[in-house]
Amino acid sequence: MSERPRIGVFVCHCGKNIAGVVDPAAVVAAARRLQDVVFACANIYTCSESGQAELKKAIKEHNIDKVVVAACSPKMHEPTFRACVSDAGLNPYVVEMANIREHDSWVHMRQPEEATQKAMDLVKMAVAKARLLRPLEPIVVPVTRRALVIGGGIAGIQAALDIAERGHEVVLVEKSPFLGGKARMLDKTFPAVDCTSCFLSEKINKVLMNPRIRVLTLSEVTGVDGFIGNFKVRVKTRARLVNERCTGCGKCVDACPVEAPDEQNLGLSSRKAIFMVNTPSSRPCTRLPLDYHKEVHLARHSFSPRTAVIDSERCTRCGECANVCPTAAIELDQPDIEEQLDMGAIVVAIGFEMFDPRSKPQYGYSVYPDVLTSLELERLLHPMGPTHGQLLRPSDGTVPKRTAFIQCVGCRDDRANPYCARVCCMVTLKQAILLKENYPGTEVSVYYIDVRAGGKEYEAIYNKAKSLGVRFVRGRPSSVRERDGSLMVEAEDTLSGVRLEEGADLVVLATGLQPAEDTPKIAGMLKIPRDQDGFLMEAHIKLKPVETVIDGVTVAGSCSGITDIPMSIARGHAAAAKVLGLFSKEQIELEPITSFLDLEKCKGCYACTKMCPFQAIEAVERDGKKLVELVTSSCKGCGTCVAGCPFGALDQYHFTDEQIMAQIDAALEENPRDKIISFNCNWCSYAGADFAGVSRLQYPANTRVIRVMCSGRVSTKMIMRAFEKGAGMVLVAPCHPADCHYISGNEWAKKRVDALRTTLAKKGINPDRLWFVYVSAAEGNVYQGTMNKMNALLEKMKSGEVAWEGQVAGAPVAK
Amino acid sequence: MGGPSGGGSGGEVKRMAQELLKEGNAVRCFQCGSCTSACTVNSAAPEYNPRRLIEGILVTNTPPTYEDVWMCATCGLCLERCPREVSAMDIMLAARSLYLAGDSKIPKDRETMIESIVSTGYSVPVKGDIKKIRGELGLPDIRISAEDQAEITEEFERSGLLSLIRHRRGGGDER
Repeated sequence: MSERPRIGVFVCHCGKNIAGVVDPAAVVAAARRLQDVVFACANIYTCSESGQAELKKAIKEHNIDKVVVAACSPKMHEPTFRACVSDAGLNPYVVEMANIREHDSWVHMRQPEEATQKAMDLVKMAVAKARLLRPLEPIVVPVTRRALVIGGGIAGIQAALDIAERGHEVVLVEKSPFLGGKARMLDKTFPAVDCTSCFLSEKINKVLMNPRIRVLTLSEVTGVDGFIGNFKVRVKTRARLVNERCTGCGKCVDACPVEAPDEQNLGLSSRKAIFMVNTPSSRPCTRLPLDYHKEVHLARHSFSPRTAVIDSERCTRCGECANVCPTAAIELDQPDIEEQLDMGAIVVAIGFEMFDPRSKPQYGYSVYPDVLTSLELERLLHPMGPTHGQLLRPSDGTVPKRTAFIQCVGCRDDRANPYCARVCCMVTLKQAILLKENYPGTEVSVYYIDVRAGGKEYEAIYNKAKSLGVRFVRGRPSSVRERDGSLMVEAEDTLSGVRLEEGADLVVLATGLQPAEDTPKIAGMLKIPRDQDGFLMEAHIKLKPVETVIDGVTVAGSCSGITDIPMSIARGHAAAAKVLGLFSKEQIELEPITSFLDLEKCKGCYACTKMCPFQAIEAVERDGKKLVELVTSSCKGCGTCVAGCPFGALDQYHFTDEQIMAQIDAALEENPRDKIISFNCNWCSYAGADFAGVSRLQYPANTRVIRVMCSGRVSTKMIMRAFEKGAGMVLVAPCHPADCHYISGNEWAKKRVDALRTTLAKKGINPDRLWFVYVSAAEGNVYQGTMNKMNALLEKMKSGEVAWEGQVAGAPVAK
Repeated sequence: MGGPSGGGSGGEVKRMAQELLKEGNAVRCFQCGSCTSACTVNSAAPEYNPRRLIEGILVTNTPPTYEDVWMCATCGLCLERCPREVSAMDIMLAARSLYLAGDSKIPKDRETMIESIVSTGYSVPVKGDIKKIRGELGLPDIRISAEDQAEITEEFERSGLLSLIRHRRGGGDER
């Protein structure tokens, strides 16, 4: 480079978020002393309009060609500042961010001096990288304007309708035979306490009648590849065993000799192995041996097309149905189908499931027949339910005179789900009102810890329940047991301090809601992290509630945290709006962070071809010489091949070896022994460290994080460089084993770290100074804990208790 | 010195409440009352209310009284039923230690129990009715060996419990 770069540094106060701990003036002063920095200043909010105006002005006035913004996480505002410098006439890729908020002021709140020192270092590292940044051109890819919606509940239905009604194709994949999700099982819903079928059947009919929506019931997504605008999705559709010639006459149902519990009624009644979608009622059979919790979501209801479906697990293939079918619609040998679909965007709306109260044996569920869950009561109140909407208790078919509701079963409970599921109070209030209104004289007691009725018109429902004479007892019961033929609820009325032991004819457990069983599977397929409660994690809990870290994948409904029906529909709309925003473009720009190849240095060893899980590097022969060819369009930009090339023939745009080495050197210029170099992958551990910040989890201020796209990018050379420069310790923090966004980058990282530990021992470096710890985006606490543990060891080395040079080869890698 | 219930100053009472905040996850309690309705003692003696005792620690800086802490039967059902992993039992045990660290006496019944363990090896002495029932059931006579008894005595001496009893004799059954 003939001319020296001209770097501008902008230090953000972020109000008090940064300036409350870090001294921005000191950071600016330190930045001014760095080579090539021609301008440095502090802004109250660099991301604000005025902050951006100052930035643009400085670029022009000082002829700045590289920009360092020391502020929040790049995951937050890197796009903002790229757009900003682009406005000022620079290439968007000449911006580098120093994360002095999530990785500094928020995690070192009680160490202002150390935090300021760290901010100076982080700026120095960013300047070192910025000096070497090169203008890049984004990769332009087309957008397939077709959306996949996973889950046919109320949220998925809404998203599908919104997208299709704007003229785009939608494939709606639903695991069960029918649409409607859990809402389908409800009789009345709050806040209006009106009939579910009224609004749900209208929406389902719209879906079924919309020619742009292809509904795939009995179907599951089995694999997802690709990226925003260009996903390749595999969908498996289970055989329905009934073909499209079915007219819904129902003769097969009469002929079928197999009785099975009706899942739609949670096993409170029975159905045949072949059944119709819109059979008006089930056979009431309240005294069947009940298999309440069989998780087969086969169901029947009035709002789906009138065709038969066979429960292939229960069907004995006797053929009686085929014998009576007048249209030859039964196909018992119908195969499952698997197909691949091209999709531009994905909406995940896989919903939730109910907590199983059998793990709270003190409440006697599944022991006493008259202890029900709130969803089972819902079925008893439903006109299509096993009792045709009559409140008859399962044990003797009588109308209960005293009903007790127990709140928070499996919620706000450290031994079940620690969170509040938000909807159970309202469900109980609604059901209590229905009981009071339909069965005058019935006694209803609600045992609660707190009544949480926070929602539009919700308090009015609480007031209505009170005015109807529902009795509220503030106390969480410790047990339900039977005495002299009656159920007894034991609780303390905590407002008076009196212990109660009260009889009840029917006990309803307001069971909590939890992530759907398929959540880990879907999360793994899409590479979306899960939060501490197991729900899918949104890109930002407050600012990006329906987006995920994977561009082009949105979440709707309860799969990212429990929502009621109004909120599920709102999230469906929101997810669709994000998809429609994407579909408003014919093509989109992707980050040009692919690998690049220097053929001069390639020796044809083919180490890289084995590492690339995307077949982006092909082995070729030219003039009898073994070489490789890089297929840039297939490269996802993890950099695993770069780190694995023994001859330095490969490198990665925007994360070059030279840039990363410069960051390492800058970080270790002063007091290297006191410092921990932490290589964090963009998707999991960098976000995990950000999450530690958001959660204000405190740890010592000696960490220096270097962001790479994938842990696979971290080469042996980089780790060795850190130790050569005197780093106290080094951490490589990848995604958890199955979570790597580049399939196997973290496996390669592990192999390299394991191999290097032996080498380190030979070179006289205590291998325990190199750590390898999996950190997910939700594991801020794991990152904090790792930092604390590493520091404990670092302190021991500083005090001489553990040797820096010790040869402790074979010691386990800390997890 | 002086245990808080024995006419201790307000400051000491407060300090004891603050000490107990650190015990048995007390700060996590959200006052649902699961412990009280599960409590085996409360069902017979309603004046012993573990939730109320934790409320005192959390809200009004009032530790359980000397009489309260010795009522806990240490059955552990409070912790078993608690959704927040709060252990009223552990809080009561910690409070006992705090009282004994002051100059409070050991209640007479506990003293008897300890002495029974030292002399017979059993907390409930095997005599009278128990002996008769054992005989009827054809169960052998039980007696602790001299060797075991010596070991128990040694352990109890080492723990300081026996000297505590000797110095604080006569706590009386204060219930």
